[in-house]
Amino acid sequence: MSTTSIIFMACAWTFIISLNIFCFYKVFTDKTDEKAE
Amino acid sequence: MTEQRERWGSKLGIILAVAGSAVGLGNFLRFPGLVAKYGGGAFLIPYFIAFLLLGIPLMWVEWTLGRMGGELGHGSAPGIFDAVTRKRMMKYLGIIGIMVSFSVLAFYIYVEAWSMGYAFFSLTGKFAGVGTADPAAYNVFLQEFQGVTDVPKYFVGGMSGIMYAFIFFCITFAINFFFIYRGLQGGIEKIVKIAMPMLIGIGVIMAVFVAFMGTPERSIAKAYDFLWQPKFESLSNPKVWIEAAGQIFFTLSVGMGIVLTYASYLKKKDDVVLSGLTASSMNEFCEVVLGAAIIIPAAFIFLGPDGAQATAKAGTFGVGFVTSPLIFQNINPPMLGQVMGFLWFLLLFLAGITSSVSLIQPSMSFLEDEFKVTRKKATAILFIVFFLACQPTIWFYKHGVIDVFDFWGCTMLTVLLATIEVIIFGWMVGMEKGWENLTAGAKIKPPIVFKYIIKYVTPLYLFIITGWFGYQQIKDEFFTEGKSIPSEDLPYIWMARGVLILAALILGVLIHIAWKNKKNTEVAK
Repeated sequence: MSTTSIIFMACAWTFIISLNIFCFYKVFTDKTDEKAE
Repeated sequence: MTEQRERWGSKLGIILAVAGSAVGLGNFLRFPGLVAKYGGGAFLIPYFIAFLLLGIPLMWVEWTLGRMGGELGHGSAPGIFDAVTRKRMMKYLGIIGIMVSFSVLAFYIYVEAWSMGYAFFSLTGKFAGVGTADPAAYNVFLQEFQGVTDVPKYFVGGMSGIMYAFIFFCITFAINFFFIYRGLQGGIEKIVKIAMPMLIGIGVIMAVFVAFMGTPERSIAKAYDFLWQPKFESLSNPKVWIEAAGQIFFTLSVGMGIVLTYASYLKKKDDVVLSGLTASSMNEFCEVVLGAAIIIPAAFIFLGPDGAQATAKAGTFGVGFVTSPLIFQNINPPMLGQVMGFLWFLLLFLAGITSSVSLIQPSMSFLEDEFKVTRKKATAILFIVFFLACQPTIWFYKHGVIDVFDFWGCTMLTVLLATIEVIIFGWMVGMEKGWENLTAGAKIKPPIVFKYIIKYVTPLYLFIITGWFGYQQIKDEFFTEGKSIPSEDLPYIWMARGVLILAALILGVLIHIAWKNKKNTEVAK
């Protein structure tokens, strides 16, 4: 596997996975998510 | 707001519902093909640029407009456009918002039913008789299943292929309406909370499985290299940029009126910035990580570089229903191939059903909010309407009816609706008020630069895409020799166009009646 392929794949996957971790961390640590009345 | 509308049960519920709506067949079948076809890793450059300048802004615009409309008692585009702009004619532009889901539904549930059918055929070993070498045989199988060919080869001595397809369609259709009938919390939220984790779980299992199936000659590293090797020269081709923008647009399900409706069931201070971003990023995970790690690498490993090349060029249906069964048929032992094939088509079915239930909801909301029809009655009305609307695609598939619904539903009207939404948000509601609404209740503050992106860059991007798609369609239909519609298909093509025109006219009349009724009620009070 060439270096440029690795760089592109790793960058894309890291960006998406980091974004998901950030978003879901914020969602699950948000205390205002109450059940609908 | 005067009437009590339904509400989401939890924040996770709406995030999964929007993500489920966005994650569809295109994530697993179309995206990897585009990457391989349009420059490998280099394709990700225009793709992520479009994600930031088009996808995220449009997502936020739809979530905000939807929540604003919901607060005023409206959950579909006609009502929302009317309520937030207070311009009389805007409700008629909202017709587009319902027409998009109508056009897509006219074929989508049928395609979803193919996934269910192929999962069944995989598990029961039906593909064993089609062979392990010839993609053309799988094409014949698919054509028989679709009723394109009348000469039976694989469906002999029992029901014809098209009857199988019709039965799977009826089952899929009934499942969709069962969840719609159960409502927001009891139906849609329930299905997405089961289907989305299942879909991701199966996706991860498949990706890991493919990674371990490589041989020294056809290793997973070589397969990834085939897909990701960047070809920077492709970036000078404008088509690559348009394709990347188009993919972002459709993968996020923006411009379909779905997010408008889903967000209308939020409360005034519910966060839309984080929820919108989370749903988008979850969709991107299913596309860029899982989508790219399954079918093209599997094609490379099991069919070789030429097979992978052919897969990349096969288009969404070609990859899904011609190459996919061939790949799984090549797995040894055959029993393992059957199980993996079943899992793959189950994954596609789950991706499909979470999208199709979301496509029905804008019409449900239109009937419930504007005509005060009960959910039971609205479900019954739409069951009949959509069942009839799907019939031309099923029975006249070979005449290209699906292309008409696909072009208007997935291409032209979506881009048009998104353009209208972004203009309403940035220019009619006004950027200051729009931004205030977007950030109300937000757990994370969006960068201020998005104010300018939403107002100037996104509309410009959309105008370019609309112009390109319009130009392509006109060129294909009127000026390309040999590619024009065959004369025997023309009546069917016009019948499909007629269905769309009739639906739009009926919607226009319904909107007129609904608003007249409201006016009369107000006068009577």
